[in-house]
Amino acid sequence: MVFAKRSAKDLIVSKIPFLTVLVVLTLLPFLNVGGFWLDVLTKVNLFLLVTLAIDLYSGTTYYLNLGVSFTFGFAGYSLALLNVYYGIPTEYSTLLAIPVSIFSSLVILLPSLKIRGVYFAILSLLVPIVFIGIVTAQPFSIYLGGEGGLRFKQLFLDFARGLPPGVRLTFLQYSYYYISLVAAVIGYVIAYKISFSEFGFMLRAVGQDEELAEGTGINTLKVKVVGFLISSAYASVAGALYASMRPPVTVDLVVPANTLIPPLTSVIVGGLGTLIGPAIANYLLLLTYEFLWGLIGRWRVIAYMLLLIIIITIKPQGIIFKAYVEAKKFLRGVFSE
Amino acid sequence: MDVDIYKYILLFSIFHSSTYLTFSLGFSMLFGVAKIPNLAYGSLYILSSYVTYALTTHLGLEPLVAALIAILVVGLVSLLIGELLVKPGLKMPVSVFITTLSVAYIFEEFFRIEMGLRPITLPLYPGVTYVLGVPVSNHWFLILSASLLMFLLLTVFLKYTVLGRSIRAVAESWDESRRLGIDPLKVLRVAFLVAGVYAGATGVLLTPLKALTPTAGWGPLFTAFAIVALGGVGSVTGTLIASFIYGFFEQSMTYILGSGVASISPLILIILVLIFRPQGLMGRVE
Amino acid sequence: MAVLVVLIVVAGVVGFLAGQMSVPPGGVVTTTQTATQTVTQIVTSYVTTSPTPTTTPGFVGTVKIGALLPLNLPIGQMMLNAIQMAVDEINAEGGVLGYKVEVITYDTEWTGDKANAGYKYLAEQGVKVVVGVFGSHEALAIMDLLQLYEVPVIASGAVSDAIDSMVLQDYNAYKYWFRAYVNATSQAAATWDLLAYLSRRFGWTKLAWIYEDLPWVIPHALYGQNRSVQEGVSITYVQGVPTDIGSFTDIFAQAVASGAQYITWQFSGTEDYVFARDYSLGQVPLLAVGGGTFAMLDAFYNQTFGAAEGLICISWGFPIPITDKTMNFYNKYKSVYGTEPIFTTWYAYDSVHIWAEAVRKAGSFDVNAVINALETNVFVGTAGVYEFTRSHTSVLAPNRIYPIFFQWQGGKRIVVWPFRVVETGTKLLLPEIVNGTRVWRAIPWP
Repeated sequence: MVFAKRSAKDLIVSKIPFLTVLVVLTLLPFLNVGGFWLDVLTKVNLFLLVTLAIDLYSGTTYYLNLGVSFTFGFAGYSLALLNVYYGIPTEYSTLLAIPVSIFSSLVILLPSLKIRGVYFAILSLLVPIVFIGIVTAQPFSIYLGGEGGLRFKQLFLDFARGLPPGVRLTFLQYSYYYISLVAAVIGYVIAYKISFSEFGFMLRAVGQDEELAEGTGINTLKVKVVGFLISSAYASVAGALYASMRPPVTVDLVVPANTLIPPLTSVIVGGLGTLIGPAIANYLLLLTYEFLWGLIGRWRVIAYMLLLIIIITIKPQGIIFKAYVEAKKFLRGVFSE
Repeated sequence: MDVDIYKYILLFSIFHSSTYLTFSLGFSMLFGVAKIPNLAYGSLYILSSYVTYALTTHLGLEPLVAALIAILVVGLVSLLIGELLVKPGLKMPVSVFITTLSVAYIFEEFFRIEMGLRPITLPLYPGVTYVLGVPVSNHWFLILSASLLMFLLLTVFLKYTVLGRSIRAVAESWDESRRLGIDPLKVLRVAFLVAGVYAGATGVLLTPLKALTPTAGWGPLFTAFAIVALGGVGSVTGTLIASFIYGFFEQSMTYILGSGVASISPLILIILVLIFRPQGLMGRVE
Repeated sequence: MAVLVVLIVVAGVVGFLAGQMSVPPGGVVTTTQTATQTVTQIVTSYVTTSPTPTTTPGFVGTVKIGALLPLNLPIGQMMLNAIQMAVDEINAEGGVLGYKVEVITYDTEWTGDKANAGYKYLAEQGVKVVVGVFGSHEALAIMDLLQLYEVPVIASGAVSDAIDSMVLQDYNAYKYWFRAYVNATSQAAATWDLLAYLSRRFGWTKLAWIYEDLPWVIPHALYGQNRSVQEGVSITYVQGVPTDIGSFTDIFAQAVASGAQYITWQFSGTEDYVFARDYSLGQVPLLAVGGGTFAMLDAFYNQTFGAAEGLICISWGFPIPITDKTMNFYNKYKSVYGTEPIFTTWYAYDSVHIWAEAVRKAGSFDVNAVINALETNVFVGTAGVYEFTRSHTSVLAPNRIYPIFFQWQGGKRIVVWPFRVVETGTKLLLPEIVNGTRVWRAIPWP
């Protein structure tokens, strides 16, 4: 792939939307948004990582990894177990949980290396389900906290306790928000770089025609493994951070309906294989769902689902990316007048 | 233990397997043709029971008549889902995953509002028969015979009728069947109708065994999914074999390991099988 | 194509009719608004300009209370109805300290995650108290937020003993938690009071225990182990079952074969239905005393087509004059909402009145004053009398909070325990085998 050289002005103009969003997000806490919405946005930032996890791998190689929720949740469990049974403080166990979880994702990958298409998807979906079954079964569930899950001190709690009472809460909310924002931004930038790198090209080659790619000398096995691990890294970071900010760790972290479906939906509505589409969709969809509670309360489930059905049925390839491209064209037209 | 546990394991393995068979058949056939799992399947299962209940309670219809109407209604709803949701999404199978899931959630909300705190119950087929000294409700025999009948009907339909053969052709390859002059979309419609009717029959047959709550559809959906994965997508015989393997394995494990881990033990079995044989026992290699 | 359209229309019509007809006699079960109502509200709220907050004549202002509930479950909706009813009553009598009370809600969707988010949401909306909190996992998810937001919680559910331990071990962090209901150990103790009495009365020393294999049953197990030894009852058969169990036939057979003379059972899901069915089909000749969410419903008997006959079930809150407020609440709830209040619905209603009374006694909404008022007073509710222990749970005692046990007899729920509320002329049905069939023998009771 050859990219035409772009003028400096063009480069800056094309980055304006991204930079604007970045500035807004950074200043958000000071715009009197309120702790609840900061909390929501923290979650949405972290979910961006999961969205990217799916998009980076499944959007390129077309191997649908439905086991992301396992990796996400396992990071949380690792973090909690390190904390509860080994006494490692949350701040460190969060970091330790990430490589542990990436490693554990091999549980999904290794058995399925030779498997393609819909069977890969089925197999990957079974992993979180089995994990949930084991974890909730009686001999094990007692060690895993029982009903309330594994409880531990949330991230920075000890430090926060040392602060004056009025500041404690704000400190926690702001620090969580900024951590999640930094993670999201770095994650996005890295995803961007990967996407346009030679490795990204190889991933897409595998998705287009795996045999052909193999034939042109690409080590498809290595590409798939590395790609999968990168994807797991994203999910692991997201899971570890998320769990550290919201104890207790329960099986809810692994339930596909909670941590697979929303990011997957963002990927689909945003446009599988594009980056900016799912990213925007992630924010748009999750924030809308939260917002709807204030508007229509209990009806939001039906309304939201109907909206999804309509959007996806009309445009199964996703509408956000196309809309974004159109918007950019329009803006470019406006600015060059 | 004074009680001869083996006769219970044997009897109830057979009965539970036949329940799994009933709700996997339609799902399996549809998955094979459409190549997409219909996640609203569980909702159809509840819907038929719900309609039967509503018709018998509020219109005073005979249970059998109500059941037949309910099955028909569910068949049509399934058709509707196929037309509105699956057909447009064929270019992008993953998206259908989300849309049918959304439909399932909508149905769940609907049932929640309608059913309130009252799970739906339907009367059992009357009478008790003692088998090997074990009291067995005659309803189990009804299910056993119904499931085998459903299996036979489906097999005969797929093997010996023109329509059935078209369905198999489309399940084999969409392009090939077009070349043979078959319109896959028409076939898809029929598949949805039949799958819906089967889902409806399942609901009416199985609800008397327990009580239905709005979330009762996910369990059967998921089990059907696992059984189809094990038996092979699109293979009806595979579904039969897988149902019984699943049922027997689960029942035996319950006695050996206790109820906790027993419910997921079949899943672990399935994962192992899929690792070595990803297309399932009798599925087609891609 | 035309045929298709016709078919679809027919399906739609039948489905619509079925839906219309499914409204149970007696009115709508839930207070879910219709879509039209909701849309109208949204539209009119933009059209009419109303400054916030609205000061209604007679009130000096408005205060909010938060209801944190699983609104996706029927029990959540019912608890919300009860909470709203209590609030309306309070406002009708002039509010709390002259303030009008408003309820805002957050749907936990039965997950700890949303419960956590919900508490934060409600706290930021400025609620003075959070009520509801039905699930133990929901409560455990918010415990560590209490000291950060300092909004008290008066839960009517969440029985986990772990919560009580937390309050005892770190009072300053968890003092904001109160449970207007009993904990799991108390639940077990209440059941065992009856099991112990039956043992003494009929000379039964062998018990079979069938339960739902979920974490909430563990305190019941622990308590039962100790209490059974005290009472001289040996548990000859124990079996945990999954929530989706399909048949109890073999379990009953094993229970009988173990020599058990009676059975105790605990479920929270739809196992009750299967249990009742197989209890009847298998003609199990043992009295079965226990608890199940659905078994206590008035509709349970008909739903099981009579199979529930003879089962003895626990019920927390019941339409008999436990206190002088019980029947008023029962009748009012039933007439307004069309179904009877069950289980924690009673306690949710009481929790609101408890809070209001505590605020009045404290003379302010200040959290520490309210906490103190809750700790040092006794409150008369509809389900009983509330006195909070050191771990801020309600005392289990005959003159405080205590359940009712009833037996299904001929389709009716006949109260059989405790004796102080049993009507004269009551009979207890005991199962026995006559000529190969199980019959129920009525004996005078108590």
